[in-house]
Amino acid sequence: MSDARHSRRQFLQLTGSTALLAASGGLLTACGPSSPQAGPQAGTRKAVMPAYVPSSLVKPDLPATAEGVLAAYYSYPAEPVTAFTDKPGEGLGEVKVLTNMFNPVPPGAGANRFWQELNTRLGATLNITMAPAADYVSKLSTVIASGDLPDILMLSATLANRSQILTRLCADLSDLVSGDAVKTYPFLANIPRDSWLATAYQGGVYAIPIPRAIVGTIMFARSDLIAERGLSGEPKSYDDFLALAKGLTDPARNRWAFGSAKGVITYVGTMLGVPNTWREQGGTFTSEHEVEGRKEAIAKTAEMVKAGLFHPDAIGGKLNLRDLFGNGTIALNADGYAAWDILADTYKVDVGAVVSPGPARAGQAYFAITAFKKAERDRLAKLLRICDWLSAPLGTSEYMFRKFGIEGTHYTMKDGTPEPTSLGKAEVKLPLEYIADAPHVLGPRPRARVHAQRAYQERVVPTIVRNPAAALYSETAVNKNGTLAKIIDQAELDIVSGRKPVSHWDEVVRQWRAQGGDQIRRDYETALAKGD
Amino acid sequence: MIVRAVKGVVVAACCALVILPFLAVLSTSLADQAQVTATGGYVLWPDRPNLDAYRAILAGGVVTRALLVSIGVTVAGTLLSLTCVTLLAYSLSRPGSLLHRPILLTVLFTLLFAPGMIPMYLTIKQLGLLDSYWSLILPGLASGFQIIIMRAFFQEIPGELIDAARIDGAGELRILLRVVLPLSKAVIAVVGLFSAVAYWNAFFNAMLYLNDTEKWPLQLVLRTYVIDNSALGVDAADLSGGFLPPPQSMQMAILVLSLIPIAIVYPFLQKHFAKGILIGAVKG
Repeated sequence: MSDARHSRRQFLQLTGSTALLAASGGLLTACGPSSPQAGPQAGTRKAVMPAYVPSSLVKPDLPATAEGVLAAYYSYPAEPVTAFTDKPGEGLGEVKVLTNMFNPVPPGAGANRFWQELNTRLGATLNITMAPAADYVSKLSTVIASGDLPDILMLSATLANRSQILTRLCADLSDLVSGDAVKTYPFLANIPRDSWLATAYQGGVYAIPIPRAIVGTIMFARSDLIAERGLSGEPKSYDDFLALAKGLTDPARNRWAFGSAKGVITYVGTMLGVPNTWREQGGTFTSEHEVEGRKEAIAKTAEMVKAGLFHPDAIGGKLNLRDLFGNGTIALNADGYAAWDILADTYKVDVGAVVSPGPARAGQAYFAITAFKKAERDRLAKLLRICDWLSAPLGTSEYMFRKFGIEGTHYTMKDGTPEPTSLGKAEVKLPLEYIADAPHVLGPRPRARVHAQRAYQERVVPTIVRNPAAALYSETAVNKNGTLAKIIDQAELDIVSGRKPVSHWDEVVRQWRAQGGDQIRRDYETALAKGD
Repeated sequence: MIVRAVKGVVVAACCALVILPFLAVLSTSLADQAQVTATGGYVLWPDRPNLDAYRAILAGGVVTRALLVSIGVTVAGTLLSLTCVTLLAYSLSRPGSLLHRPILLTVLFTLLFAPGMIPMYLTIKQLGLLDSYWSLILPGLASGFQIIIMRAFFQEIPGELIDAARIDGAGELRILLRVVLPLSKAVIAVVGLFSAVAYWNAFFNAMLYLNDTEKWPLQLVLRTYVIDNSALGVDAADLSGGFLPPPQSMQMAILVLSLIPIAIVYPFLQKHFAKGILIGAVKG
């Protein structure tokens, strides 16, 4: 029975996106013209992105830079500033929200003092529907298909037909946030331009971003192990990097350089001039998969696997990489920038980053985007104020409440750092940061670590390679992302494991192009030419 | 003597194959973070056993409440499902019942074509069942698979018994309750177990239909603890904002908690389970 249910679910997942298209197609027809191209003033106007006005309300120990280096704090500001003197959602009544969550589910509003206090401070009743991140697209698809949109909804980057859903079903925020208008919401204006790129569709701004740093993935290193072996953690070339990896590998002591091939291929690629997803030259796009450097990066990774620099279960196995990094089994691991503190705090080890000899690859500067159901301008303005409140940065009392709850009830300050109480651990788990959030910051953590993180960013961010397609929209890229990624991932695995020769890559790229790669290229080239 | 020793070793090895994973799960749930890190994920024997993981999970009352919801939905769902399936299977097992063939074909049709996620959601919404426990119970109430199994069993009951009851003046309902059901305990047990396990394990429908997290059943709540982080690639790790997944000990504690109820019930029903499965397998 459980097998039957399982296969049924897989079937539903397969058919879900098609059904959503059909269902939302019906709704779209009801809402406006049926031609998918005939969006609001399609092609006749260019979206005016919101202005970037860094907030000066709180002074960080090290300020953010315009290029994208994060602001840094050594400690929590002693006296948090209160950014809002009024209740931003006063008069809104119930506000329905749909978003995802990564935390375990918190107690419901009736039994959650944090949630109740949140509603009091907002002056509105926030009715948050949350779904586990892994299932969120299914939940979102059904809600959209039903036509009964919540007031605020988070749209994942992988949601099929995103452009149509936004432009037909969601509110156009251009009047409220484009250009200088965003200054009405100082903490939304505090979100850097990179993060806003995915919010513009067919000439309008239809969402606000949940910002992330441009710095993206980092090759983390166990600095203590590097020092212990007298190695250099600053490779000047691929050969230096290879020497570092070899020096860190000692199978007799159960120690290897790496635990996963994917991150290594990308990292080696940065040394070989592989573009960040796409390269644009004179209006023509070239995929990272099509350049010679990518193939070479895979070949070099395969050589490293053959040389025994990878954990024996790294290829095809499912390893808990953070634990293995923490206990020293692997010494180098590509992980998200936010993992720096997690690794250092959880495992109490000396974490560093290995700067690539080539330019670093920028990450996606947003987690997802938050859109709004069509409503009166006044209501939209108030909903945006709620999001502005949710984006108040570190150093404000709003931030402290959002992240830690009520002082004395949900947390206590210990040596300048909030310590959650058991009630805090249970209740302060609402996924507010997946509705709207302030740009990330470095720290507050020990000074030496903050300096190391900041130094890394100051070094890589000025020359970081951004994805030229980040601001462009391709329906194929969104809808076929899963299939195409699978083709590439499987081929990489086959080659690095030695099951297939490196020459197999050429055939895979042909397959990738035929199954959607070429269409994505055309989409981007058209979008760029139209200035969408 | 040697043969016995070899047999003993083989049996011990087979037992170890089954017991060790369970022991690892239980031990990891009781181990502290330092030991889990040192061993790279799983612990065979906790050095400093503690119940922190269980305390963390049970704090706040969310899991306890979800447990009650799951028990309620499973018990109510199984009873209702057994009633529906039994009545339908019995009527379909008697030749000449009203609309016999069209109804049988409809049941068979559901085995071949499952409804899609969005049509199901829209139906549930139209029926006004969103955010109601009925949305967890009604959609799986009459499973075609279970109806076919039970029908096959009923068809094997000698017609003479039923004819005799009818001659004695019993109506269809009395025949079902007094003659057929007492002879069908095995199939009722197996279908009941199928239903109960399905209701107990279901989380996806609850995720879709229940917006109010206070109504979430145990499996969905537990899923938020053991969410599949491996599905999130390297790129997703920076996007998620460096959320810290629950430690391995907590994930294993969740496994232990979710295993307990089924582990308690299963031994009592297992003999019926095997018997019932065979009946369904060879008769059609």
